[in-house]
Amino acid sequence: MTKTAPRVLGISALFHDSAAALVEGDHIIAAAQEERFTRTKGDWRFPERAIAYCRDMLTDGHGLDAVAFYENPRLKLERIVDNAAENYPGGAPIWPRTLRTLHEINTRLCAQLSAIEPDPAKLFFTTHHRAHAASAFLPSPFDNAAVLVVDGVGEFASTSVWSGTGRTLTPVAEIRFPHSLGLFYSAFTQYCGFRVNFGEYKLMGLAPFGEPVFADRIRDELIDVRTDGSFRLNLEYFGFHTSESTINPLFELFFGQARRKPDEPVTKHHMDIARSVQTVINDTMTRLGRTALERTGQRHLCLAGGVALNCVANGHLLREIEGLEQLWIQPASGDAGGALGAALDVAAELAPRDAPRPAKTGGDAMQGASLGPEFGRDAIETALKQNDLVYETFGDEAALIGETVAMLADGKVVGHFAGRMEYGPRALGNRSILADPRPAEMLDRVNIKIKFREGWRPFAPVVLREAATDYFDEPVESPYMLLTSHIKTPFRTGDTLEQVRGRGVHEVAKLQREVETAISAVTHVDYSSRLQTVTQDTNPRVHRLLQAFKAATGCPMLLNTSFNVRGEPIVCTPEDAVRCFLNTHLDALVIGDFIVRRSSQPEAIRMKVGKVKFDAD
Amino acid sequence: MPISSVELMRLLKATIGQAKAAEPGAGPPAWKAAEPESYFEDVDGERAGRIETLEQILAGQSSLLAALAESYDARGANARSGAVREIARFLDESADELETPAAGVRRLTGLVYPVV
Repeated sequence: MTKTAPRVLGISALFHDSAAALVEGDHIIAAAQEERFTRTKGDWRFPERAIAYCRDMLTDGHGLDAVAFYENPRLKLERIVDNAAENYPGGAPIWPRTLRTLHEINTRLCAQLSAIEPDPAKLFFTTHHRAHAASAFLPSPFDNAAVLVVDGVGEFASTSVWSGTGRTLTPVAEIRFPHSLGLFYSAFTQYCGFRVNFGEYKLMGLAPFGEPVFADRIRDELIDVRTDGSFRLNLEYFGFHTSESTINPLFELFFGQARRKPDEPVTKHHMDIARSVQTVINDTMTRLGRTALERTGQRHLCLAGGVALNCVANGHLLREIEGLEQLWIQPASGDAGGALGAALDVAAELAPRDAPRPAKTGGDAMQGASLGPEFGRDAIETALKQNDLVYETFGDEAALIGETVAMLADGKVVGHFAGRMEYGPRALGNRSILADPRPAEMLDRVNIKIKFREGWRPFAPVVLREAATDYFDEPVESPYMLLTSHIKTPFRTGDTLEQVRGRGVHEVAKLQREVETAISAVTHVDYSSRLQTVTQDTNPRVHRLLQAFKAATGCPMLLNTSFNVRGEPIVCTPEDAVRCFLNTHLDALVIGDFIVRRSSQPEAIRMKVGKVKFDAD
Repeated sequence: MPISSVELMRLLKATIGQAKAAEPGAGPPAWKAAEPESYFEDVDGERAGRIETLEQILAGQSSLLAALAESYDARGANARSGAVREIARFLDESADELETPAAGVRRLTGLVYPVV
């Protein structure tokens, strides 16, 4: 590797999902979340191990030119203390977490950063939303774009609009804490019995089962959304600014029911709540996106921030905004992406002003989000041997793919481990569980026997980009699984949700099971799918696998879900993959050049499944 | 989930507030602004746009909180700067206690709230 541009290590930490990223100018060398190494989901601590991984990627003797932290600790402290003073004499319940944050920032952060880079002039601090904006714009395919960042909160901003040109980001407007669309959505997540900062995607997945019967009441009483998408919350109903809970009893009184406990059944009430808040989010995000374009004069839009992981709202926005030519969403849109944004932003700041910017030719700079560690043949084989596994070795990728396709076509569920681990919350083929999406029983099988998760949650399809339009309505360009599309009418094979309900079916998993399509395991009850499209450029091995599966079966897609079990981070190492294989009912593990079939294992290994209990997520 | 009597009083008060707001001609409730048209705020360049070095962050202070207290002093917000100083002193003196935040909270709430 020859060094050609400023080399910057970016770090996000001390709230949730900490991460590190390494860039050289515009080029991303590495990026990974700390949770993958520590095996603690959403790990918030200073990302020592992700940093070590990034630094290990520097093999040419050149060190770092700078270290970039994704927030401004002084401003964050100011907001925390402001909020405490504002809510006096209330607010005592938030002090445990506040103290932890204060302690980490005030006592440890500077020392930890200085240990990486002793020269204080080379330690940089961006702001939280600026880091998100940079993560969305700088690696995007665009030279000019509007940028919209929507999340819980960073220092003060919870929503911000930016104008991006070349390597420059200019702030345009913002909405400040405590008024926050991310925290608003998290309140409903908690009310419906899911874990805040983890279960938001479940709330989104629950929405298609319901009706938006509460949407108008929510707009009247909980959030005031203006024509331009700007909003204000009625704080009387929320608790995030004064307590450890995002909601308070008035919120529950407003909806006429107490919050759902995690082990209680999901009812029509929760489905309607989920659909109603999704309706409000769709509308608000679309208005915000429109305003971002109007206020910047741009036609391209970039998104980041935790709310940009809401693929239903993203799809709605893309369909509804006239004049929006292209949308690009940072795949690591949550706080982990802040590490990358901070690194790219500081690298752009340090670059010589006349440094040429590589031409953007339509593709983005994310390399398919394959930015994490990869493992060689020896490391993989060692992990297999250490666990006394019986395995087959393939010297030829075509033969390995042929065997994999044969298993998938035979209804087997396969753990697929290849290449570099993905950066961001989605497994995009390299750390994925794959299966045939067509058999009706596949949904239950993968949900209950392999992922140990709720039976009502459908999976995502990974589909050949060139075949996506055969099955799905627009939009079908979705490389990072961040947009929803709807399956075309000819593939809708059974009763609609209304018809199924008319037959007296109300239990959520049964509803999901009985609204059938030609690919039932990857379509929702409203016929939507959380699409991932693959090209030869973004992931050659998965593209070849899909081509072979299509040749064998006529179906150009597979069910794709993250290679992990409930409550655990996505696997990182061969050892993680083997552990997951041993503790689930996966039929096979396809790992590097090897295939491990459950049926080939000794009885003692086959009997291990089910012995480990997994935490709820 | 049970609701305490204090909470019930608060709910009642809030419900009455809602009913008043719903009366014809009463105008928008207090939490909604009649004006302006937008809730967007112009961007404060310092808060939104700047990249700072560690030297700038610390601004010659050994503690971020001490720097923040100075900033409050500069704005004439003396009560808050006093509170911030107390927090800073607390953090300096009780780093070990912070490993068990519950004990820290009991001490800090007594320490800080009287001066906020």
